[in-house]
Amino acid sequence: MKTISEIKEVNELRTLSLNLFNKHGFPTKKDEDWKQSTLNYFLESNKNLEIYTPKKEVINEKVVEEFKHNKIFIVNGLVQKIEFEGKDQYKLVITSIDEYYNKNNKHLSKLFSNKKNPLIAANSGLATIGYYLEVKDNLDLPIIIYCQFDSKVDQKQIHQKNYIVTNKNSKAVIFEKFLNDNKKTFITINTNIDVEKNSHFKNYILNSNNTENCIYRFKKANIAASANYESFIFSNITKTIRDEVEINLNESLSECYLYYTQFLKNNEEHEIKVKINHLAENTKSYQFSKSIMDGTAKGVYQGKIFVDQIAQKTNGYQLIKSVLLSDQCTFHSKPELEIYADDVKCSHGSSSTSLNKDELFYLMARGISKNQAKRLIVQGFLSEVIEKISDENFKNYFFKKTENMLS
Amino acid sequence: MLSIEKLNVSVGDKKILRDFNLKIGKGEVHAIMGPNGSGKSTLSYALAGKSGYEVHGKILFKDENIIDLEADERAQKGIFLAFQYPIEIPGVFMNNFLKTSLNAIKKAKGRKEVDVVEFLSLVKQHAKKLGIKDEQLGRALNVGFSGGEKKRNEVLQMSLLEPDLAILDETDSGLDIDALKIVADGVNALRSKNRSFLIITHYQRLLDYIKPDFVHVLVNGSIVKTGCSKLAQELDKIGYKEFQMAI
Repeated sequence: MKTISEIKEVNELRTLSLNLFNKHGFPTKKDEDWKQSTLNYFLESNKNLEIYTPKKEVINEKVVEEFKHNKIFIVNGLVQKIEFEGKDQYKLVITSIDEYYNKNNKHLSKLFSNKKNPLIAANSGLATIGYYLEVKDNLDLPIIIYCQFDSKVDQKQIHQKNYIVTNKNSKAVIFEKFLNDNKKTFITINTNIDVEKNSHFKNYILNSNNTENCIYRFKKANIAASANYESFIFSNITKTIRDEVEINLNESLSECYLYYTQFLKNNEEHEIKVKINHLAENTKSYQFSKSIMDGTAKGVYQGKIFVDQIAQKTNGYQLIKSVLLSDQCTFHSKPELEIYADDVKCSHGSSSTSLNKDELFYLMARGISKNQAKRLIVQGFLSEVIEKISDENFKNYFFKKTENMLS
Repeated sequence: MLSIEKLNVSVGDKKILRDFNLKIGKGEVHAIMGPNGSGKSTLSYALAGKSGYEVHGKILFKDENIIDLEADERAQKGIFLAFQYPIEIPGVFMNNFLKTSLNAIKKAKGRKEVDVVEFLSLVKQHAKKLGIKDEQLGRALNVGFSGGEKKRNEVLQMSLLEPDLAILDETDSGLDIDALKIVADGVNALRSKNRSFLIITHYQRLLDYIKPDFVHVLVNGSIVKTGCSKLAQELDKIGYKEFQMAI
């Protein structure tokens, strides 16, 4: 099998991307999309980190969830172990991304798109690792991808490119659990997703206990006819992490549902950027994000709904709410609509408020202490998003996570 | 049970209660009636410990001045306020809220806290008496509740928490006749020689169902007249005008 740099088509695309990145350099505050980003500070002072060469690594199996599921262990960017259960092992294909490139030298360019984005250009130019995951049928169990980074990657950079396909009429739930024991690492993870006709893909992410690294996760999902994509990202104790997604609702009756909760305190930070492109008739998008900020924390949500001229009967919804518990924390919200069709239903709303004093008084008037009342209100506020998760098991999982986080 | 002495309450420059005095004995039911803006709701908030008011004077509850206590401490000591407009709190589920509240009060009183099984059995028992469906207990607190459901929910909390002093702030507002009867029956069931009530209302209607021992007329922040339950019927006929004009 040829290595990535030996595959001509890939090599050309990588060189092109790298040239684009070298021309632009790291994003700065002058770039509108990166104005509020705190990744800039990290990247400015860590420009010359060595690129990590992946090898066989040690898996931390202590973090494995107790319920039954299919397992993929990725350590320092490389797939180390897979365990697929029962019939699911016949419904899943996983290979390294270079094996995929070797077998498919056509249509590779779509995995190297988004060249205007400097960090995606860097990822496309430098990524030598990643996985290709194909879901062929309805999975009985969810997949948990344990994404582990250990101290071997301290003060290095890792670029990972993945490609996930859910085949026609299939269903999959993928939960990505990030576990970072590393420090000062610059990580980019670019995942391309094709949700094919009438398939359903649910993607949940636990983004927690990671304040030492700079992480940029960019997902690009193409949704086909009658297919839908649901994602939920739970962020807590994070810093210099940006989660970005671009969704193309390419065909009629394609849908996407994006849910986010952030609970950030002290000097924590997290950025969310969403772009949804309605590119066909009768498509639906739904964004719902709730954030609690405390201390000197900073949260960012940039969300844009684009409706193409041909995308009549579009239904686009976006609601971004935040509660600021201190005077020093900030939440930056930038909701945008760009509509070229005339028969659409699109709405967006964004609000940032302090804790509701009437709610606090009501609970305290029932004997509940101020701190406990605050916890109940915060938990209730975030629960409204978690309530939307359609997978009951993960809904309960994240309810418990929220409860534990606040206790 | 409760002795309020020279209570003055203001918000900014606006004086709302002026040298307000009131004594409520154990097991007594007092009604305070008055026109809009006379300070009725402010009185209930000041007693329950809502912040944002400047409060001077004495509020002696079971011989202890509670004026500096927070709302949760007052509730733990046995004061309950049934809100005129119960607050909707999205995402905070009824069962979780009720259990947290019940255990906070039990803990403060040095009593054994209830576990989930005990709690569910207890709450269902109380809810049934008030015609509250199990389904309502699984919903977010007051969210999407009708006016009647909200008021019934207040009475449910009162019956669960078993306060020594219950303040009912315009519990009759927004209730139809049937709901009013259910709520009044719920309150009457809680009347005991050890529990006192302060009922705040505009109209005599509620007092047809919950017979007070004393009726006070509150005008411009002070009590201007006190009488027995007949006073409420008189007020229903003559209104508050003559009291307002006398000031």
